[in-house]
Formats: sequence, C-alpha cells, structure tokens
Amino acid sequence: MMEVWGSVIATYTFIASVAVGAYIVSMLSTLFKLGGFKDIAPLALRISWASFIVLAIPLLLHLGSPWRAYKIFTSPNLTSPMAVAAWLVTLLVILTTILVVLDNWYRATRASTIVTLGAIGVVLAVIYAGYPGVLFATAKGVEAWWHNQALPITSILVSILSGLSLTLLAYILLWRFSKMEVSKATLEYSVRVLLLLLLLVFILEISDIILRTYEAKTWIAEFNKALTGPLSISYVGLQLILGSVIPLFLLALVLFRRVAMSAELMVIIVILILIGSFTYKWNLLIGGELVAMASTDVYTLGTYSIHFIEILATLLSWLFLISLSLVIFANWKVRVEKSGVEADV
Amino acid sequence: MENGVPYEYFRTHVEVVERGVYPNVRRVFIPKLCNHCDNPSCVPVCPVKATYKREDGVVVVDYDKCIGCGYCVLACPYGARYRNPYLGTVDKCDFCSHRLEQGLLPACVVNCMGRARIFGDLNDPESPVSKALKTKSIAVLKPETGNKPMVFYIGLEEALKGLPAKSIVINPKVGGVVEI
Repeated sequence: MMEVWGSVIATYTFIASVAVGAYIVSMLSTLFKLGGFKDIAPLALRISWASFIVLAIPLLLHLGSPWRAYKIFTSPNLTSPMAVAAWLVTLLVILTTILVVLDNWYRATRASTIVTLGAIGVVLAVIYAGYPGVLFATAKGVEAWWHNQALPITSILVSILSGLSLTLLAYILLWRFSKMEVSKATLEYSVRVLLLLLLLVFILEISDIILRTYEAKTWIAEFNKALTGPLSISYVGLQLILGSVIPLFLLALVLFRRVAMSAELMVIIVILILIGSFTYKWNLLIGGELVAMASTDVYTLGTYSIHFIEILATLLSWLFLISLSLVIFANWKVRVEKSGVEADV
Repeated sequence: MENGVPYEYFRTHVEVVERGVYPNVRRVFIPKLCNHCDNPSCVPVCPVKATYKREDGVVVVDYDKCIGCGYCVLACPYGARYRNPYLGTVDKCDFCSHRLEQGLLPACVVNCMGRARIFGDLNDPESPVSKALKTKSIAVLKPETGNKPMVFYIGLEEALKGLPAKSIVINPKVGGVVEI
C-alpha cells in the first residue's frame, strides 16, 4: 500500500475542525447564553463560513479524478461515511451562508430564525466533527492507529480548541491593527475554556498511548518506531510538547495569576495550540497510514511525502476567503465595538 | 503486461517468506492479490458506488465512476488496491474480468508455470477449485477481519507450522528484503 491520504487530507481535516469549532464558538453566546464569547462570536461565524467553503479545495486537489466529484451528489453511496460527510458539509456551507447573511444584515429582525438555524447547525457541526472517528474506524486497512474509541470525542474537542484559537488570533490581531483594546473579560474566559479543552485532549491522547502500549498488539513495534522516527518531530516535538505541554503550562500560569494576562501572550498561546491541533491531524492521518503500511503490507516503516504546493494553495485560499468574509460581511466590527450596549439574541 | 499496471504498482505480487533458522528453515511463496471477499470492506465505503461485487462474486471497480479518493484502498485489509496515477482512479485485481467475459482464465492462472493457481466457480462442485477446497488443507489470510476472503491458500499453514514467527520477507513492494 502506498501513501493514500497523507498531507493534503491532513490539512483538510485541520481546516474542517477549525470550521466546526469556530461555528460552535459563534453559537455558544447565541444559543447557550455564554456571554464570554459574545465579543468574538461574529468573527467566529465568518471564519467558520470561509473555512467550510475552502474545504472543497484540498479535497479536489487530492482526488485522482476531481472532474467526477459531482458523482458524490448524483450517485451517493449512503453506506459510505465519506458520501454522508459530503452531504453534511454541503448542508453546513448552505446553513452558514444563510446565517452569516442574516447575522450581517438582518440580525435585529430575524433573531428567532438565527436561533433555529443555529441550533440545527450545531447538531450537524458536532456530527461532522465526530465523523472522522467513523471514517477512520471503517478503514480496515489502517487498524493500528485509527481504531480508537475516543476518536470522535477527541475530534470534537480538538475542533472547538482550534476554532476558538483561530478566532482569538484573528480577534487580537484585528483589534491591535485597529488600535483598539481587546476585551480582558473575553480573554480571561477564553483562557479557562482553552485550558479545560487542552487538558481533556492531552489526557485522551496520553491515555490512548498508554492503552496501546499495554495492549501490545502486533503493530506496537511499528507504532513506537513511527513515534520515535519519522513522526518524532511532529508528534513528540510539535503536538505534545510545543502544542500541548507548553500552552497548558502558560495557560495555567495565567489562570493562577503567576503571569499577567496580555494580548501578546494570548497570541503566542493560541498559535501554539493551532500548531498542536494541526499536528494532531497530521500525525493521525500520516502516522495511521505509515503504521498500517508497515504492519500489514510492506513490513517496513517508510517515509511520507509533503505536498507543499497543494497545502500552500489551500492555506492561501483559506486566508483569502477569511479576509473576504470579513470584508463582505463587515457588520462584525460595528457589532463587536458596541457589544457592551447591544443586547444579545 | 495484461493490465498495463504502472511501474512500482501491483495488482498481484508474490512475497517470498523465509522462516526459521538453519537447519530448520523453510521458504514459502505467498501470492497477494484482491481476495474478492464475500463481505468486502471496500464496497460499503466507496462514496460513489464505483466499486461493487458482481453476481459472479468478482469485486470490480467502475473506472468511469471512480473519483480516486482512495477510501477503498485504506479500507482493504489486504493492501490489494492502489491509486493509479495515470488513470486517476483506484485499481486492483479483477481476476482479469475482460478475459473472463471471453471465457478465458485470468492471466496469472494461465501464466503460472507450476500451475499453482486454480481459478473457477465455487458454486460448481465439479470445478477444479471446488475439488481442491474439498480435498486439500486450505487457509485464508486475515480471517479475523470478517471479510470472508475468497482467495484460498493450499497448504500454507502446514508449510509454516512449527517454525518461529520471525520471518524474512522478500517483498517487491519495497524492492528488497524485510525482517518481520
């Protein structure tokens, strides 16, 4: 078996997790009255919309015959998690488009519609966030790494973590460039949520490694070789240390008042969390395939290729679409500026 | 070449497994190919119904439908599928279905010098393959997957019986010798 999904699909799953996470963050204040995210909710919705739309790019770049991609809609196989996900993400694109339009121009008059559609979207988004667990579990050839019962839960937590982190990064940077003060209350609330989510993800990841080591299945040697070999930098260095342990430590220092909260520190923390979230997807996809190849087919741990051009094209399109969404649906800035006055829906 | 398989890709390949330590050592040849499972895990995951099981039991790929997503490649526990970079689709052994339609045997069966490959209709009790399954000791690869593979190996278990698990494999997919 040659490498099949690899780096482009790893990038896709990361953007998908940001899309879902940002969407959930955008709805928390609207649906669950969590005031801590009120300031960043409009930004989160726009980031989510742009992220859902850009998902088509890495998928089409990955397909062997992208010109036949429409067949997933004209002759879908409903037993395939991939076909179901394609329909799900299409629904989410339509839903977030309607919501972002309503949020931008008709927020005062269509409040109840926003709540109803928002609630439907949360259900769809949570299913979409958890579906990689099902998608990977049905891949019998990649049993070693992907058959993890906690995967749907970890995927949902990583989604919220990465969506919230990117939204906070955009919030702080936009506000700094506009020479405005970022809301201290929002940052303090975010610190608590980020710490909780990061801790849960870290515990689930470490528990998974411990469990696999105890189980000591036939592929454990390849699993360990992957973690200490081709994935040593991306797994141990980037995902666990730089993307989990260091931000956990920094967040704990902020929470327990050992270090003063500042926007600059938050930028560093959320960038580290985004690196951790990206490498989580990277290691899951690429590590899963490497271990599977080594344990079932070619009997040796190979290396993997990084498709730089496809990844760069995806990331640039993503940045462009996020910027475009902030320009087209520009009401977010006015709303955030007077968020202290405006009553939430 | 019967199916125009690209260089470094395989519809079927033969692994040479050497097991044991001199003088208790044995070498066996294990041809690997699509197992045309009775309960194939590649079929339900295909998002566009491009891969399916025919009435005669052969699992095939519809090259006009396949989008080349690779999901079936990962769903196959036998590593029997690959993404063909020239076709832009997935490809695998289909028992040379173009030959079957002409009443011919698959190319690998015809070309095997030792007549080690037997192909036929399992529903026909008089077919050579049905007779072989009745009279000889057979094994399948990875029965634990629940895929119910339809490729059977005559005398494989006996050949490896009593030998230590550690093997040396000569595998064309990695172009060399691997210790497992």
